[in-house]
Amino acid sequence: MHIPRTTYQLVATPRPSPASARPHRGYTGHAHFWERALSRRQIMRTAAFGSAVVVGSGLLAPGLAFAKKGSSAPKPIPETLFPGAPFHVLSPDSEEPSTIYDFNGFIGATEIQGTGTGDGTSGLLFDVDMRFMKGVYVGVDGLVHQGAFSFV
Amino acid sequence: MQVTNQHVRDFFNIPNAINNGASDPATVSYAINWFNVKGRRQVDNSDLHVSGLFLDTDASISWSGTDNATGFSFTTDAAGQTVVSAQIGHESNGSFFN
Repeated sequence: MHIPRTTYQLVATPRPSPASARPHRGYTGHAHFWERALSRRQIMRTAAFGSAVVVGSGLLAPGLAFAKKGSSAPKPIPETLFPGAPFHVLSPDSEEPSTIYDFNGFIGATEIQGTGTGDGTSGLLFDVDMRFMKGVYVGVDGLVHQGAFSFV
Repeated sequence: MQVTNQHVRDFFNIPNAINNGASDPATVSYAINWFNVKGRRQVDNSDLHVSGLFLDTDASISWSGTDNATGFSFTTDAAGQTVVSAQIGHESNGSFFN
């Protein structure tokens, strides 16, 4: 199924609010980006939901693990880390860094290594794979939604 | 990307997380910056059904987290970070892939 641009352009116009209204400054990205800019509250709420779904059980298959019929949860990408693996994620430097499918929007992905301090002990190692996806997507319910998600 | 007081689950290690084992409630806050564009890539992959424009960059992270059950907390050092990979951009996949 291909979704024509006119369909998701009409659906994805958010209700304007002081928190999301902002003037165009510098690079504005996609021509309709600011129409879809989310308030900070919406991003936090949506990101928290999205991240909890990804990090929780059914790891990396969020839409299938938690979505009820009619849910606006996103669908995972069909690819897996390796054949037969239950992890619907590819490498953060791959050509598909998103973990959600039927998605159109902005994405950032990074893997960073370093050290930190835990309970007073320094030099502890960390290795993180962090990503965000923000844009429009087709949910489990088959409808086009707008949202922001983090992969933690 | 900045998130504050996000509620997650601490599974303690990767094998336990994969097996959806026991976990503690945890709270994390983090800020990630992508900067210093090092390259641009146009992607049009019909096998993965994804297209997009990506910028390869540097990145840094500031992370702190607390296991709410045990009180264990961890904070990253700002210095000495190694970026294995970092990219930011815009993509269309699945139904949105042209």
